[in-house]
Amino acid sequence: MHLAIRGRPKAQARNTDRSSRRVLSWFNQNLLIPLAIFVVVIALWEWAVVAFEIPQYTLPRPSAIWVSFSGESGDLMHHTWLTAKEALLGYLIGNGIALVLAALMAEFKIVEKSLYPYVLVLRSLPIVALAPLLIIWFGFTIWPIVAASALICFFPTLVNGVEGFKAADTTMLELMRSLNASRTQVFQRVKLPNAMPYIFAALKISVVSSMIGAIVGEWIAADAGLGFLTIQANNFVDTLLLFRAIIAMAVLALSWFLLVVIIEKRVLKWQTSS
Amino acid sequence: MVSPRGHYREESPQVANIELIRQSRDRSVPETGQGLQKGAIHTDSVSKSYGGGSGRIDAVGNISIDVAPGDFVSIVGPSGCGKTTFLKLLGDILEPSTGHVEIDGRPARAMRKGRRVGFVFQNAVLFPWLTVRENVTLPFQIARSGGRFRRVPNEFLERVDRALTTVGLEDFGHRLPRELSGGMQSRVALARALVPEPAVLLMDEPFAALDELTRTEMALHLLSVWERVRTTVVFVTHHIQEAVLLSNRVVVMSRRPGIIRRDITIDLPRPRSLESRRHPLFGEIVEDLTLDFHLSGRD
Ligand SMILES: Nc1ncnc2c1ncn2[C@@H]1O[C@H](COP(=O)(O)OP(=O)(O)OP(=O)(O)O)[C@@H](O)[C@H]1O
Ligand SMILES: [Mg+2]
Repeated sequence: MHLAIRGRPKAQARNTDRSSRRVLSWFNQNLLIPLAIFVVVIALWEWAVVAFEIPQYTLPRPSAIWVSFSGESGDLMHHTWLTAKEALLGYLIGNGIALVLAALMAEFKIVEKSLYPYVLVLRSLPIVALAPLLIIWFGFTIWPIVAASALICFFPTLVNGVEGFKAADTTMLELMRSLNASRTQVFQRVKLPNAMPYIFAALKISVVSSMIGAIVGEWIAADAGLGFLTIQANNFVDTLLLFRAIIAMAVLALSWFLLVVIIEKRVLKWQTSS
Repeated sequence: MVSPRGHYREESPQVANIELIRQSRDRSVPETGQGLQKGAIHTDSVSKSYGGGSGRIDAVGNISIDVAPGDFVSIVGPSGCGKTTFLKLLGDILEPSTGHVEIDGRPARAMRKGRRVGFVFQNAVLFPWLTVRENVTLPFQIARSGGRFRRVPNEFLERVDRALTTVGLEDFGHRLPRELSGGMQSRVALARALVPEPAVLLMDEPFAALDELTRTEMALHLLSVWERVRTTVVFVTHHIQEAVLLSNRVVVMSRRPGIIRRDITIDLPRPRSLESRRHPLFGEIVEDLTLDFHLSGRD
């Protein structure tokens, strides 16, 4: 792939032509076939619904779903935005606390020893079962949902973080010692950068986890949001609404995931690209 | 982790600065370092055992050795005989179980804290997330900032550039380590070790990961660098010809627990080059050492 020669941001404007050509070839290589499959599947779907006279409440036609968006997209945006807010807050809080704790656990034996049993116990609990308790604590606000979302993100990130912070190369640590580096410096300059691939792996996984947390939370304690919409759609057998909610979830999760991937690519520029 | 508690204790920034200023003054001294005590190593029956109880491994037996300032000493010996361990004792990366290490009359600990001891490992151990230049600047960054990021002053950056020129990598400062060949990577590691101008340079099989041709090239390169900077070098290798070509003195260690089995002076004339291998003495010494090396592996 392209060699990352740092500190040369110039000459970019001149290269727009070349880079647009590169985007095109990237598209051809990576998206052409999936897109073709998508088109074929949608066409088959449309055809099958008509041919086999499948009722709309079982499986609506793709074109019907598409048309139904136009009527109430503003309402859908409102629910999507709420779920996004809950999931994002849960994501930030859960991952934030997990990473700080992971650093402390990796760095201080006492912290690790005293917290690890609790981590194991909490991890084996199905978080969803805690939702009623969270409602009692936080009331019917967005906070029990945020908490459920944060809890689901928390453990995978904690485990990955601890592993990442501990995975630093022994020789690198010896080098730092020979340079008389302080503990803070060792953490900043070796352990943290070294843990970045592990951290980003966890951050990618928890995009979906935090969405699951938010949606399940909404099933239990909400009167708005995409999770709430799916329940409502179910009650009224409004399959079109169900599909709209699912599509909104997919778009939200996918764009969020892509954002994390873009940030990862920037931060981990130094990693060998295949 | 190798380090017991408290090894990462920080010195006050002032101490570090004074040390750096002192070092940069060393620069004004002629490069041969005449009249300046540079890197005299003295060990007094040091030994090192790993673990305890029934799982105890005696890695280094009992080594007393003196190395003159500016000398080039190679250590050879069978695999697992404690060469790496001994080198780590010299650099205060490990603490000896018995005995002690002094450099220029000061304990190894003080020398490490003053960043007077440089280390080059078998793998280059470059930081993959830093450019070549940033990697070589690392010793200064650590010396300057008390855990915080701060700009390294220009005079030190000039020294970094000089070090990169010394190892012939002045055009590669902005590259990432993975963009360099193995030989270039070891040259970066050498530059990083040399840039604080250490009194003692400890090298643990630095060229072991390289192919034979690059390896010879790197040995010649090291030779030319050392003939200029004249710091004391302790060089661990499995490669007897490399040891003879480079060193004033070759120390053969016995099997674990490693003790000094032989200690010979290499009287080949200097400056040395590839031509030195044609010298009749070269073949003789290599032959002799090879025999000895195999014997030490057996008994
Ligand atoms: N951290 C450690 N803990 C326990 N034992 C160790 C440790 N490091 C080394 N040893 C043991 O001490 C002995 C000496 O190891 P050392 O690495 O010093 O040998 P070496 O001469 O450098 O070997 P090589 O030529 O293979 O590099 C070996 O038997 C090794 O297994
Ligand atoms: Mg070794």
